[in-house]
Amino acid sequence: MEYLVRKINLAKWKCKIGNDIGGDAITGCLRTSSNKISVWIAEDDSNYYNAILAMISTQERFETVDFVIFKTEDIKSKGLGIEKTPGKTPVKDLIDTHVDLVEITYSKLGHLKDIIEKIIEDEKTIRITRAKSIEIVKRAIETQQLLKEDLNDGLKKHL
Amino acid sequence: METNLKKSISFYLDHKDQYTDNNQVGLSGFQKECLTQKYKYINQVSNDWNSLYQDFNIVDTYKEISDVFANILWGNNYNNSTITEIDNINCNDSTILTLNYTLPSKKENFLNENYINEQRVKYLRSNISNRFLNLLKNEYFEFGFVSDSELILMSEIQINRIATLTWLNELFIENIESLEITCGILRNISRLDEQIARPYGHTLAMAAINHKNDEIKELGVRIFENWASKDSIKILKNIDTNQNWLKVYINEVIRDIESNGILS
Repeated sequence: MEYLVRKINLAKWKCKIGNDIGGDAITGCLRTSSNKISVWIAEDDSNYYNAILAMISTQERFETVDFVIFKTEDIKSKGLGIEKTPGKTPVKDLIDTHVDLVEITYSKLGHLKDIIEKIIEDEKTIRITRAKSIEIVKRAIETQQLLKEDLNDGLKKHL
Repeated sequence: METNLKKSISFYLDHKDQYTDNNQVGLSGFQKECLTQKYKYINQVSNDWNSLYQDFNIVDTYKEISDVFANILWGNNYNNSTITEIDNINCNDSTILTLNYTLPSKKENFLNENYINEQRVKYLRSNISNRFLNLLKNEYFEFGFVSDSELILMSEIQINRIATLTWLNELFIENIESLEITCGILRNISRLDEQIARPYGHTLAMAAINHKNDEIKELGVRIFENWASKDSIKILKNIDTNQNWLKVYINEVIRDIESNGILS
């Protein structure tokens, strides 16, 4: 079973208005471009480091970041389309582990919000601390999965 | 900056013999008077700058002033400046007023550090605050990526660190009730090097951890997490909170810093 990984700003999801998720969480973490949302594929819900590596290696700084992991079938069952597209990452062997959730509409965004909200309620979000991020990237360089020179200068200075 | 200052001074000194009545043919009495006043002023300023530059080498403090001077002398076209361009400067009393407003009117003010910093804070309030606050309210922010407001802050800090931090501190207090502005200021502080943010950054981060809003509390801890310094550990170890998630996060950061070594 495939899983999908998405970076979120967890604090925005925790600041509820009444019982509802605030608009900032939706507009910030579920920002669409051409009605698409970018996500990365994880082999399973405990083997997600490659997906996280793909994302943090594009960053300009190391910072603590939160992620949600959801089942592909949960996405499909809500009518959300998935399209394989090359990911933007300096980790070359992960470029093809990227998909877009496509044809996102207002109601589909709502379904996605429900899925993420449930993950947060169940406390199943993944927090990768700044130190852990550095460790993940360092390991990828050591195993030659990633070239240091391909990283942003803001990351390089901490490696 | 240093180049601009040197250029401003040396250009004037090289050409000052040309600032004569011969160049004022065809000007009205009023224009002549303005020119005379302007050259007199520039002469005074140049001498002051030159002595400051030579005696104290305190060039950095005078970036803005020297830029204004360079602009007045030859606009944006520093490289192709000629005496003609200098004489094409609008000769009216607003030029003189601009000079007098922008530059310290007395020589002793060049050496008055309070004056310099106060002028800089005034400048930031009137020229940068609105743009910066609008960005904090409206910009798209993502952890791990540089934001537009951060670029503005960095550029102002390069000009005058203390005045910029004072201004940022003011904005923090004035906007403590605005979640997006407070969060934006804290995110920006977390991206400064600890030595640059010192000491205001530490105080603001501690204030943030005591804020009632959880997102702001978390951003306060993030600042110390990013700095990963001895002071970060010292401060985090002395924070008392009864919120479990915050305790967990703080302990995690302390553990990370201790096990990975001090980063700054």
